Amino acid sequence: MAKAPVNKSTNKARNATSNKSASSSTISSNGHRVTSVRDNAGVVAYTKGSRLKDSAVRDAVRRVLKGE
Amino acid sequence: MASPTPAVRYENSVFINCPFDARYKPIFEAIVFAVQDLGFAVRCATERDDSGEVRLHKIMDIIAECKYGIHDISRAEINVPDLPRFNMPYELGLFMGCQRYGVGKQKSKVTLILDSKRYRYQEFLSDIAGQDIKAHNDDPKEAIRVVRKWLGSTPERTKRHGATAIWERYQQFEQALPTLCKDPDINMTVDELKGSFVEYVQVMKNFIIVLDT
Repeated sequence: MAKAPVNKSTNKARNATSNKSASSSTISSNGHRVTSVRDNAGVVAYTKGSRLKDSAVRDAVRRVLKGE
Repeated sequence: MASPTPAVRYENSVFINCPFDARYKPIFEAIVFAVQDLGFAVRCATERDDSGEVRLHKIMDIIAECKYGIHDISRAEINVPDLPRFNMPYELGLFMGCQRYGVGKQKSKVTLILDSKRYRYQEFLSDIAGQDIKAHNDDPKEAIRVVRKWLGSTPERTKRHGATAIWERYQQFEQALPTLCKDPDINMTVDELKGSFVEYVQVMKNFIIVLDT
């Protein structure tokens, strides 16, 4: 089977993180491979015992940065 | 698409050994932000609040789980009761001993020693002569620059911001924090958040993630 074309710009972004586990690939409806850098690429924190939820904190940050 | 946070591992963990007093806090918080903004996990003695746990054992456990160590000896000076503060030099010794006498991955430990002035340590800790001691001049911005230069050359670094960009992002975080803390999903004062270390670094981490997207 022929290889699906790879978007060079997304590969560049993936390589910029030097962390392959921080990217993901999916096959789009037109058959092209789409590689995207995950939104949390390369950011780690030891948060054992925290009562906060990452997704809720991110929503709060977005609201504050948008001035809502 | 939401995705799991990359794992905290020995190789991307940084033990921060520093004082926790109010005077040092601006430098400590700047270092914590810089470490996270370069893609590393911060570990320090204040992350676990278990009064039943022996403090020294807790510190030893954290040291064993970190490849990198930032040790600030700038406050190993005479304290209020006219006694010097030995905790930071002591924990520096533990970390370096672990690297020297430990086995396996412990041998790969890497140390950054910070002081307020570059050659001041010679007056009170001359045994570390020959180590590369970096000075932050009691300036949080300079502390970020030093940490960026040190961690920026490591193979585990995943992010490429320069020191100026990290400082600007940190200023943005500090300015947003009072409003952020009032958000119903966080709902605590800035002091309360900063007093709860794991939640503080979690808010910092997610702020960095949002900035990067």
